[in-house]
Amino acid sequence: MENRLRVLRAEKNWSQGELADRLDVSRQTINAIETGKYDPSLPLAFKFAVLFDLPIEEIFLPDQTELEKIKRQG
Amino acid sequence: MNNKEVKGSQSLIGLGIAGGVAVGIFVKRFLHWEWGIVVGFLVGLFVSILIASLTGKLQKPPMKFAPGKFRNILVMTFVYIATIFVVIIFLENGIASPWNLVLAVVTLIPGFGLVIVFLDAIFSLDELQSKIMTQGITFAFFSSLMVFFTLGIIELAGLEPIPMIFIPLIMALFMAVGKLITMRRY
Repeated sequence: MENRLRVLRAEKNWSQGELADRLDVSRQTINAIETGKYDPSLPLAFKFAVLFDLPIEEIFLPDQTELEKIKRQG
Repeated sequence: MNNKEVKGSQSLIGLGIAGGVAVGIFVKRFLHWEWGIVVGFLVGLFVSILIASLTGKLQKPPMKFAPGKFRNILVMTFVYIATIFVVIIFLENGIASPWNLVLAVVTLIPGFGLVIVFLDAIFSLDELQSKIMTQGITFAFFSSLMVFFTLGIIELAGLEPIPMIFIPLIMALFMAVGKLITMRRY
């Protein structure tokens, strides 16, 4: 899953550490999410949405090929 | 905290651990050397973290435990080791049956306390770090199981039994390796 966290964070002029402190997670977690190595849980995704005042789907972008595959199977 | 301070705290803690281990080996006259190393390691770690903390040089830890959780682990570990030593001293001086058995089982109380504070600390981690720790522990559990089964079989083939103290040391080593492997994924 891709995301726009790095861009959104840059717009706010926050470091990874500052963002981590605001969400009460570690900087390592923010880095892993930004680089796409880890997908956050739904509660954490909602925290991102509230912090950036955006809907979740404007922050986290699902893998379209996966979604289409599920759609075809359904 | 700048890089110099971080390196200062790492050096201080490293020095504390090395000093503790050295003292542990030195006191082999009073204890078995394996115990000396373990006690030296823990005391060195405890004292150096305390000094780094008091002098404001303690590095912000990479794992984000909730406040006080790491301290609880250190305190409980200290209590557990102290209890084991006291029990060993009493048992070696000869306690009548069945009180010797009761005394031996007493170590389970701080032992379970250690399990509880450790779990409490893991639950206080954020979701990714909790996952890393859990995967590290899983790796340690199965790797240790395989090693000890293999050692058991090798003992049947004639190897001397390994001292009990190596069991927690091997498990701790595998946990560190498991954590490092998992951290590389993230």
